[in-house]
Amino acid sequence: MTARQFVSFACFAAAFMCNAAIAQTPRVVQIVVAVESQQFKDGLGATHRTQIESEVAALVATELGKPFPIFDWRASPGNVVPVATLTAAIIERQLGDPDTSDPEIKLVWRAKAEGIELVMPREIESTLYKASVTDRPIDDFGGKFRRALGEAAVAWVNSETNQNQLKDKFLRHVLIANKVVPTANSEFVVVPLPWQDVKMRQDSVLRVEYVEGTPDPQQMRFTLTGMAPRLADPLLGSTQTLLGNCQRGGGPVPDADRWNKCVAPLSTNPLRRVSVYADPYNYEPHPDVLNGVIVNE
Amino acid sequence: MRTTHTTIGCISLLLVTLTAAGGDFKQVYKAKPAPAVANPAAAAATPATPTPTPAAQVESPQAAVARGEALYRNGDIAGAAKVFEAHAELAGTPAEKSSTFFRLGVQWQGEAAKLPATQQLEARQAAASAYERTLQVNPNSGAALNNLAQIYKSEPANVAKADELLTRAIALNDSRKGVYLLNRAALKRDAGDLNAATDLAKQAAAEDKGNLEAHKMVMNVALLRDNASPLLAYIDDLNARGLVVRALDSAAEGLAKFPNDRKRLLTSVARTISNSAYTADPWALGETDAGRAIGKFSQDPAIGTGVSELFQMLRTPVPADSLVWWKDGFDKYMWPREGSPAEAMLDLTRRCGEIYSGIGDARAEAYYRMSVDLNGKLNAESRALLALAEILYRQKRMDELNRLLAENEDGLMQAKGRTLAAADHLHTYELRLALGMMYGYVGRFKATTPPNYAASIWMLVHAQESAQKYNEGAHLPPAEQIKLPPNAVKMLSTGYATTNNPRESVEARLKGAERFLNSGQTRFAQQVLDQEWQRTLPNDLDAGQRQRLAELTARAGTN
Repeated sequence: MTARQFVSFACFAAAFMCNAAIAQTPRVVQIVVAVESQQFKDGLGATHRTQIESEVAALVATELGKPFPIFDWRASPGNVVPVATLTAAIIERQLGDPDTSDPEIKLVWRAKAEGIELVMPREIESTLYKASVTDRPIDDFGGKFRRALGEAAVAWVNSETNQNQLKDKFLRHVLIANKVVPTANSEFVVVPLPWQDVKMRQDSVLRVEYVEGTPDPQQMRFTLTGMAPRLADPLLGSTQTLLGNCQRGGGPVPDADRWNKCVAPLSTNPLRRVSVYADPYNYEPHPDVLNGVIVNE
Repeated sequence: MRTTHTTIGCISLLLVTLTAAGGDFKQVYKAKPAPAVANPAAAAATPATPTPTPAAQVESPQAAVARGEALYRNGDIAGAAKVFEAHAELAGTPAEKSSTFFRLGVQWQGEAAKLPATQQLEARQAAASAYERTLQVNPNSGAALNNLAQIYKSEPANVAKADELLTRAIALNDSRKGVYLLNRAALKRDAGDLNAATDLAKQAAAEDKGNLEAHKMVMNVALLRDNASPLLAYIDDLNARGLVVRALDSAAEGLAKFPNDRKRLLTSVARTISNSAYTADPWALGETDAGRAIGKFSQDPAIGTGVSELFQMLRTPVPADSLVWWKDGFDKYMWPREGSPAEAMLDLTRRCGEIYSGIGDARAEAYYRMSVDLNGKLNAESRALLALAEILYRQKRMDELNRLLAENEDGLMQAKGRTLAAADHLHTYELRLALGMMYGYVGRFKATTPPNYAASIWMLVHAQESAQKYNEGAHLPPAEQIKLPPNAVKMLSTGYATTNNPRESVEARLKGAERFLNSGQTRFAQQVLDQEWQRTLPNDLDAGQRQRLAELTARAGTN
């Protein structure tokens, strides 16, 4: 529910009949669970370990889809090439003398976007089994390890501070679209993200990057704000935004030139390679509710 | 301004698009022509009453819509509504009809908000009529129930009806349940029923943790209360669901709103940071929105000292004795009073120890020490103490480990005495295990002076006895029954070996392995029967033991 003006709901409602026609960028983020601890690898055996890894990965993907539906979280991306990967690794860390104490078993997270490893803070690691806990189910007796790992992973995903860290360190680097469409009236920029599916709160911000200019190409970066549904063609039913600030080659572009310098080139040939990121993404559970009124049945 | 589409045009677009999109509009229209005007232009010029059309004449959708628009522009809301409803009736299937009426209702509801006050009632009535029609076709349209309730709630005579509609919508249990719950919460709040409003908003928040509106509604109602008790209960809920940032923000809001409850609210801040779901660096609290808001109370007479001490100890561990505000509830002997600042600080210091220990930061030790000091002489909760002992043992700081044991041994013993008297076998087991391991760390396997129980072997043997008593009463499956873990079995075995009792040393391992194997815990059995240990066994080992060792080793698959 947002503070948008209560206007044009018939158009709004009609717009969503056309959702299926929106060209979507694959926003697939692969979830990988990897049991790397030698203790557990030995105890579980390859087949059982793989089974646990894929089951817990599916669980994590489902859980991450709740706060971050703008991304398509998948444990098995199939033929789709994921734009990023989030790995939950179960590692062991020896804190004391290995002859007298067991290693700690940690759940650590690694992230990669566009082929680049991102640094995740160590604070978000969690301990599955402390060194003092020797009663660790390394053979998954009675499904104890699978259950403990699943619970730890879900608890991790549901921690608000972890979600904030994910947004800050990872999700803002994950490509969510590779196209934006400036409208003819030089006011709105439309992004091919289906409004109802991505559940983006109005105060979310999109960051758009591309390279512009010859012979001296410059990195262009602008933000898009004021998320709203697109109620007309083109891209009816997708996400409509307003141009925020803009930088060219790292320097600010004056307000008066922003549209012409930053957005307008995207309407002309040759087509630029555009990257769109959510920075930050804020979740809205009911994007079709305004002031308590449901506008789309 | 977010969109540029005309609103009046949208009604027409709606009707043309939706009835046509239904696929049957033309056929239905031809089969059942609605009363219509022949000349839309004429209708536009006619302010009030549409001109009747001969029944045989067919009006195009565009013409009918134009006629409705004209009526609307001329202020004849009821007339326009009638025209649009007549056209909505032409939608094909029941589902299409329900959908068309619903959208018409939405449109009128939107128009009502923009019209002059004198026309709003009529527009609302038009919207209500469209929703009623939707519900006639589809009684389970949660969206229509909800939206109709939103119209009725503003009419004093219909508030009860609005409540009933929302109750029906909630009972549908569909994907919009959170919306219905929130709207009903607002209804209850506006009626002054703050308890019901809180419960409903909390339910909405629980349905979807990401529902910020639900959180805001709970806060909105909580801040209307006379005291912070409902807010504190909500903060506990947030903590239980891992929503620690919201818990801190809520406490910060409460500090501003409830001056008389600041002590309890600041205590809740420490509890939140102690939550295992709080994975941010504790020292960075001051850089968060909540931290900044809380920091503004550093001069407050009731909690100013507590705020300063909190930020100080989060930056770096301090001696527990130096705390003033946070010692409230602590008598140096017993466990701090439940709900007291001291109890919250005890948990917070242990949590800081765990966080820094996990990332290999040396501050862990000092935080564990704070926690141990705040635990009281009667050391009933041994987690921080054991963690500290482990650090010292790992670093081979045996003198300090001995000192730590000496300082806390008496308290652990007294705590154990109490759990024994209460026949609390589980906690007796934990305390005996903790003592047994700590005695083992310092090499005190057997007491050289009375009391004879102040030693590792005695404690571990009796810990296993407590475990057995607990298991007998708890009726747990074998794998979940408590038993000495492998490192404790090894410690016991080492204790016997060190005190020249090789037969018992082997026996401890054999019994431990047997317990694990009987519980299906093969890997633990392997750990206590490890090959390296077996190679150290004397050649003249008792034949019976050798035989059992071979059998157990075979069962464990250690060879």
